This record gives sequence, structure tokens and C-alpha cells, in this order.
Amino acid sequence: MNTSNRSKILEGFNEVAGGVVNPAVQGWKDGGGKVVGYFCSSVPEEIISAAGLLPVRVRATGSTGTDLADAYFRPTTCSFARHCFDTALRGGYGFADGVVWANTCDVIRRLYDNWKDEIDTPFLQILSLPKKSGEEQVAWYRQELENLKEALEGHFGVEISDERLWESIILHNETRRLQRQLYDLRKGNAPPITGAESLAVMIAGTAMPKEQYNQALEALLDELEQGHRNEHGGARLMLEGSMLDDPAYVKVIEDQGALVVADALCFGSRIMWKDVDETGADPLEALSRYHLGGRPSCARMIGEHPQRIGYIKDMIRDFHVDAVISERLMFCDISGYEQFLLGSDFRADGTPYLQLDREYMLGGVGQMRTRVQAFLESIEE
Amino acid sequence: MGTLGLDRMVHDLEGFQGLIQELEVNPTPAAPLMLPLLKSATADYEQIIHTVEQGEPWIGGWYSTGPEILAAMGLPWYCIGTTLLAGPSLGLADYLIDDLEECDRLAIPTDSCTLLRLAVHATAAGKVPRPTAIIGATGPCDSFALYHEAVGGLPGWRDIPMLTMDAAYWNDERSLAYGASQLREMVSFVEEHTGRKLDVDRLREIVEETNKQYILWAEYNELRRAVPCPHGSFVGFAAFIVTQASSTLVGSPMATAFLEALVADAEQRVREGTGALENEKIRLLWFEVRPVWFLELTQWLEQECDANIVMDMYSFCPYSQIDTSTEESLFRGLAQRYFVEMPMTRQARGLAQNFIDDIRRMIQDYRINCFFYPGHMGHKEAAASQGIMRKVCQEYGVPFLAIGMDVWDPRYTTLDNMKEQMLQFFDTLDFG
Repeated sequence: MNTSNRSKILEGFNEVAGGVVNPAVQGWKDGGGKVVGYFCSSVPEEIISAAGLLPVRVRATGSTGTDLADAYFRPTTCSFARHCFDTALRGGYGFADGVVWANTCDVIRRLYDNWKDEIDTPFLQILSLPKKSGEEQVAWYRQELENLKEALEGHFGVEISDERLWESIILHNETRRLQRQLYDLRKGNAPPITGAESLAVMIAGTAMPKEQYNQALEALLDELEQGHRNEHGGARLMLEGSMLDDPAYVKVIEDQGALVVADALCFGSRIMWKDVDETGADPLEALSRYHLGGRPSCARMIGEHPQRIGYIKDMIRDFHVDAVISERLMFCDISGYEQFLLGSDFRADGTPYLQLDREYMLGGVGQMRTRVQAFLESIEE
Repeated sequence: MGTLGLDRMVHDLEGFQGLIQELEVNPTPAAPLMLPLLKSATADYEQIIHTVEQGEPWIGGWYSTGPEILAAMGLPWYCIGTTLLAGPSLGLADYLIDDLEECDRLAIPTDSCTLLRLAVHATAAGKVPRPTAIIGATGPCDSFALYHEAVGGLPGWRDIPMLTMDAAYWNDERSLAYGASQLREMVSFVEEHTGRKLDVDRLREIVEETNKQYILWAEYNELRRAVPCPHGSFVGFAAFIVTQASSTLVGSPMATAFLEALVADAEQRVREGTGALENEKIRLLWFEVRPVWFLELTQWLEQECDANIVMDMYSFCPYSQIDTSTEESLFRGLAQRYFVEMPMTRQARGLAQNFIDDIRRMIQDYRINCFFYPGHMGHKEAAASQGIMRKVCQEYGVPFLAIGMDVWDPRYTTLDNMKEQMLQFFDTLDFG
């Protein structure tokens, strides 16, 4: 696919995806707005938005090393956490007025403790996110969200009414609806957008005011629907695995002649495939329910592998996927065990499947190219 | 027997029995401590082997998945995750490296905790018997939670009922109520799949016995504060084994008697001023699990370096007494024990403040003058806590050594390499 003539809108999304402090965040701050970063897609952006704050998902895009963080973390911890902390130690999150965590995994939850000790961020909160989904867990997490709401209200001096929460949920659901439209365009024979470009659009959605993002995404959808489409003759791939916020990584895969048409990533389809229910009486319960069983499950959730593989297989069918690539941030136990289970599932049904390990910053590209090329050749055979 | 997955247990059982016989005929100074532990391991294995052969119900569990409750239900339980390590850790078997090499061929990344990979391997390779049901937990770490998922997905194990209990991140009353509710869910699950019923009065008796044991354990730990320390490295680990890790000993008077004897021996030695080491110079804190090759390491530390591991993560005893007056208080107390206080859970699950306070306490109470953070490759949360630990040590001027090892796999960092690191570290310090 020729990407040299991509639209100005897409360039804008790429720019937002390409840096921690991007023009959208800068514009928000310049206008006197406050920013709250968050780790993990299980932290509901809606609550932060409802407080009149800009939720920005924490990344370390642009980080070039972990020299400072290495004094705190052993090399056996995932490089995403180390790069994020290094960025923070260098002042890269000085623009954040707060950061919210969930106890997502062993390393991210300790990142909270390190951050609390070393980084001067005015508002910090960690949520106890269950690893099971059930009514008891929904009630538990709802209370955690209530605690977050009250803490935000107290710290930032705002009121987060139910009405504002519902407005926020509706706004964020609109984002999800538009993103699903984008993904729908990738189902056909000639997707008008590459996997790398789609990922940039999705990342941008976690780092811009939602109204601004939705407007730009609508314009992009119009453009893509009307634009010229080239048939793509290569393999249609699905990506799943660890958090991935680097479109360049996807581009390396696509440069080998394949097209990534679907994913089960937490910067991808898993954050928008379902909407938060807008019909209930309690917005916090709706959010809790959404994150515990309502949306496609994260591999950290226990007992939900059957749902996850069901979701992946539905995607394989609907997006006409030829093969699946699972990427794992090295030292990520959650992805490691998920890969083990997926390998068994895919062996059973004959789906071509490749497991790749990676570091947070793109590296080892030569080896990756070789592995992807060999994999694609094996599919063609 | 081969089809039951008991071969390895039978092999190790014979090893335990042989060692018992040898120690009874030729008692060593360590025999009084070793014998009860070996006998408990023997009893545990005999119990499981008998249960499996008879087709009776038993539970695949862990020390943090309700041992007192299972004991009160008359259900044997066994930690399938440790099957491949029991023999090698006592020097009774030489199959560890072969198992590790087979384990490396599993499609689980080798940077994941070896203990849990070994457990998956043991299950996949038929080296452990099939339990009636499995109880897991979402803590203390990601690998532990996911290992149950992996085991439950293996051919031949998919039909085994499995329940995973979820642990909250906090230590407050809301979290304990949540934990208690998880335990009640576990009781219902076990009753459904084994036909056994929980006798609350029996549970009360067992917990009351464990309350006595935890007091004794705390007393023993107080005695270890003495300079010189009355017993050698990891002796306190035995308290963990008899109170939490043995199916046949949990809540039993035998465990209480063992701890009473341990306290009495330590008391006498403290009274006499007799230390485990003739010239104790280095009082180490080992903030990690006890490694599988601990015997060789500690012997070297004690003999060559005059260093005694006077306290370690598993031997530290911060347990609360459980109020047994009502069923509610029993469950609340057990939730606190399993989801807040037990080793690994205590350090790895919640906020770092939990273990920061412990380290401060241990450094002061045990006059620690050297801190080893072994840096087990599988403990990711600990790996992300290295800076925090170092900072606490700096507060007290305690030298801190982060090593980097696999406590289950001697190939990762060889013992010689570790010794070299330790010697170089000691050389830079002045221990008089």
C-alpha cells in the first residue's frame, strides 16, 4: 500500500502517537487544562474526562534508554515499565497533574510505588482491579471507582456528578463507535489503511481530548471511505499480545509483504469492541461491569481464556485473517502464559501462529524481519 | 502406578525414608530438627499416594489456598508445584537438571518463574497425580495465578474442576471481607466437588492450634535476635513448613510439639551464649525464597565467611492471632492469614510499604549488618522493588547486595559465581 500520500488527518494522528507530549496535550495545557495520566486500559478514562481533566495513557514514546530507571529496576523487568519510569525521572511526565494506576501486573503496580517515592506528581492513585469477573468483583471495582471519583473531586476541586459521568460515557462510546467503523474498513479485500496506521489512530485516541479526536476520526473515515483502495495480495495478519504502542513495529511486519488487518491489543480492538452500557442507573457500576467481563478480556484475567480465544477466533473469521502473530514484551509473564495457551489452541485448529519477543523500543529488526519472512513463506506453502 | 503419576513421589518417599533411617542410626547435630521435618514429608507423601491409589478425593493446592479449611474438611492437599523440587532440595535426587532441560522445551518463556514452569512441565509430563480439584489464587504474583490457567488447559487436566480465589490489593476491612467471601466460595466449591462438608467446630480447633503455633514461631524468632544467633541459616524456615506447608501437620499438635522443641533448644542455647557459628561476624537478611541448593550455600557462608542468615523472607513471622469466637471472625482471620500475611503474598501482593516496614523491623530487631537481595529471575515485582529495598538499607547503613539468580535452577547463576559475588562484596566491607 502506498503510504506516501496519506492525508493530513492521518499525519496528525501520527504526530500525536509519536510523542508523549504531543500538540493536542500541549494545546490542552496551554489552555489551562489539567492532565491525568493513566496506566492500563482498565482505568476508566470516562471518570477523568467527567472531572474536566484530560486522560492521557502513559507511554514512553521517544525514550532512548533506561539508565536512570535501571537503578530501581532489575533488568528482568519489562522494558515498558523501565522506559516509562526513566521518562518520568527525566521530567518527561512533569506535565501530568496526576497519574492513575490499576494493579495490572507485578511490575506496573511496583512502578506505582517507585513513582510515588521519586516523582513529584501531585495526584497519584492505584486501583485494586480484580483478576476475576463476577458480581462480587463488579461491586468491588465499582467501589474502587467511587474512591477514584472522590479522590479526583477532592484533589482537583471539581464535582463529578452522575450526569457528567453519563455524558462522558456517551462521548467515549462515540469514540469507540468511530474506531469500530475504522476497523470495519479493514475487513474487506482492499483495506484503505494499514495496520501500522490504524495503530497510530488508536494510540492518538488515548492522548487527545475526545471531542477533538472524534471530529478528526470522522473526517478520516470520510476520506478513507471515499478514497482509492488497492487490492492487497499478501497475507492478512492478526496481532495479539502485550501492550504495543509503536506503529513502527507493525510496519516492520507489514514491510515483509503482509497486512495487519485485526488485533486483540489493549491499544487496539480490546478498548473499543464493546460499548459501556448507557442504559443502567449507576454510571460507576456500568463502568465496572464494562471492565470486568463487558469488554474483550485481558490475559491477566483468570478463567477467561475461553472468552479470549473465542474473541480472537471471531476476529479471524470476520477479518479473513490468514495467520496470527503474538508479540510479547520480554519478561511479561502474563503474555508468556497466554502465548502458551494460544499455541495449544492454534495447533489444534491449524491456525498459523508466530510468537515474537520484543523490547519496548524497537530493536532487533533484522532478526524480526527474518522470522516474519520465514513465517509468511510457511503460510504461502 | 505409572498411570497415576505417582512414580516421582514414590521415588522421593523412599529417599525420605532412607534418610530418616540413616539419621536415626547415626544421628548428626541437625538430626533433632531434620527428623520431624522428614517424617512430615513422609507422612504427606504417604497420605497422597494412599489417597490417589484408593481413588479418594484430594486437592491440588498451595500453602495459601486454605490449608486449615481443607484440614477441617478431612481433605488431603498437596502442592503439585513443588513435586520436582522436594528430592533435589534434600540432596536425595539428581533429576533436577534433566527436569529443567525438559522444562525448557515447554512453550512458556524461560524468563518466567522456573518453579511454576516446572509445575506445568511436571503436570504435562505425568509426573504428578491428578487431584480431584484444584484451588488457585490470583496472588501473590502473575505467574502463580497463570500457572493454574496453564495447568487447567493441559490435555488430561481440562476436566478437573478449578477455582481461583481473588486477593484484593489492600489490607483493610473491606479487603478482608472480600477475602472471607472468596474463602466461602472455596468451601462451597470443595464441598460440591468432593462431597466433604466443612465442620466449623473442627476448623475452630485447628485454628486455635495454629494460634498457639504462631505464638511459638514468634517466640522462636525473638530468640534468633540474640547475638550470636542460636541456630543456623534458614532453621526458622522449618516453622513455615510445619505450620503452613504440610498437609498432615497443618493445625496439628505434632507441629506445636515441634515448635515447642525448637523454642526450647534455642532458649537453652541463648542462655548458654552458644551461637550456631563460633565466630559470627555477618548477620545476613536473605530477602527471598529459600533456594533449592540452600544446604550447600549456607554451609559455605557459615564455614567460610562466618555469615549466618539470621532472618529471611519466609521465616519472618508477622502473623496475627485469629479470633475464633464466631464463624465470621474465623473466616476474616483466615483471609488475613492467606491473603495478607503469608510469605510471598505479604511481600508481593499489596503496596511496597508492606515489605518496607518488614525490612525496617528485621534490620533493627535482628541487628542485620548485611542484606542480600537474591533477585530471583521469576519474581518480577521484587525485581521492580530493588531500588526501594536498597533505599531502606541505606537508611540504616546496611550494605546491600543484589545478586541475580534462579532459586530453582543452579544453571542460571552457578553457585561458584554467586560465591564469588558474595566474597567480593564481603571483601569491600569491614566486618572486623
